[in-house]
Amino acid sequence: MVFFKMSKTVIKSRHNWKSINLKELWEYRELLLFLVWKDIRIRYKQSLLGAAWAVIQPFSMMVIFSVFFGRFMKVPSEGIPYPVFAYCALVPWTYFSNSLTKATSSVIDYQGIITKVYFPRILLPLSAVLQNLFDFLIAFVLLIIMILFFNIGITPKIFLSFMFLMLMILTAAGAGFLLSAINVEYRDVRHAITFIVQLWLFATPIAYPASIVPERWRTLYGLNPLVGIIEGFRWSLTGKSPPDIKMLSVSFLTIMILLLLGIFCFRNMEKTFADVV
Amino acid sequence: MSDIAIRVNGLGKRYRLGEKLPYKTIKEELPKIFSFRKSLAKNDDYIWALRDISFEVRKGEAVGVIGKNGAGKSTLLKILSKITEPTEGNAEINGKMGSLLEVGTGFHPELTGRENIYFNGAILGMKKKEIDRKFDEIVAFSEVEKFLDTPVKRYSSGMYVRLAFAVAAHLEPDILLIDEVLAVGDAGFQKKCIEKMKNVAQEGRAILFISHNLTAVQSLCKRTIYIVDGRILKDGFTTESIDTYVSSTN
Repeated sequence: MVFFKMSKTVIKSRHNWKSINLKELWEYRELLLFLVWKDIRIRYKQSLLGAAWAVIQPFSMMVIFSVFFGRFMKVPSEGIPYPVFAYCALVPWTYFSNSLTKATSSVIDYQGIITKVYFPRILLPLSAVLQNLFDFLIAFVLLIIMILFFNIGITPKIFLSFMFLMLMILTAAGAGFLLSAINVEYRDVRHAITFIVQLWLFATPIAYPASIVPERWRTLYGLNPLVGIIEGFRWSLTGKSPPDIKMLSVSFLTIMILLLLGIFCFRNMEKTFADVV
Repeated sequence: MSDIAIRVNGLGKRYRLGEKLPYKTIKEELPKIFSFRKSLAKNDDYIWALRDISFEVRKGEAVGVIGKNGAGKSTLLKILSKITEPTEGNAEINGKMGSLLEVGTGFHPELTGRENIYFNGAILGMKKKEIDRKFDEIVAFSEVEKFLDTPVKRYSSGMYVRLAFAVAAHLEPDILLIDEVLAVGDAGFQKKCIEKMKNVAQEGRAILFISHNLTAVQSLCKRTIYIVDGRILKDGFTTESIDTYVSSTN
């Protein structure tokens, strides 16, 4: 006779809103790690430059930005050498845009699996957001080297950059949950995502400082959650141009709303994923 | 403690007749996404894939499920394994469940055999420790020792399937749902799989086994449920259910 701890599950159709099931997520934590590990492994298999790609993307954008915006257009950079100014923002931005794009298609990418096996679906966009941290770290190392090279000097504020990174992860997760869920039913999202990311790039103080936005528009500007994050990230690393506190608060609020909206939409739509995907 | 592993009460699943009909539009759908009620559209847009399904499976019992293509067998397994939600009714599952709806789910062609054992095992609900422990057994069962560090995209289809089944066969849930996965490999390997399944049942676990392979059903299950058009037509001894099934198809 085999004795095992009985766990009882009741399966029925659910009508009401469900929040995230943290207990279940905890039980599936290993699968989350496996999903992250698998994608990182696959990304660089049969690739000549391998992990160098993590740096190539933000670095080449930094070069182009520095030439056109920095040198020719003379965009102000708050007393920071323009290449550092741009790269400081491009590192978290690259993380965000790659995570969002990957998260958006994550549920569909696993179409074959979600129609065959059960696991909390939210692990898919979550793993998309987490796996890009690997690339972020590589690009971040180069950022530190650049800061040292330009003699900017690192202050203890650098630890605050982790807080801004956390906010970035939450933003990518919130938007990723929302878009990946909608993408299952309406593939329009897949077409829109490239375009959304492009618009978002220019609506965020990456190539330019937030200070060029007129004072009275700043609170509204902060509605773009990346505004507060990018400005804060840049400030924590270079020590120059502290972010407008009002703008930062608005950004923070938007992030929380986006995250909750993402979780609730995802959880409400996931029950039909296997039927409509 | 009851000895019921699965109890199904009046389970039903309704599908929308998709594809040929105009697809959902955002305008029509948005209010529904944000509403608490389930929307009820015209009845003729829908089809009941499964209706009024009730049965019980005891621990240690292996129950076969047979029926024509499209009878609703797979839908039943999908509901029980939580992949899709029922429209009505409910089911109680007592114990940890593992489902095998297709071998090789989650196999990635770029990963090596070794990596796939871990990844696939994790997808099927195994913990890393559990996989570590059973790793050698899985490899031995699959007979692909020599190619463990080769990406599975270079495997022959036979090797691929053997490895995939080996992982799945080493799941140790209290309840195992299997859908037509024995239709793989050569006769020798199939026999090995059936033996493995029999052991599972003897260990006190419950099995729900869907197959078109009547011989396999007969050798594994004493009891069989015969489903026609989403309803249970017969639930009894395997020999009787198979007789009913065979005579109805002639």
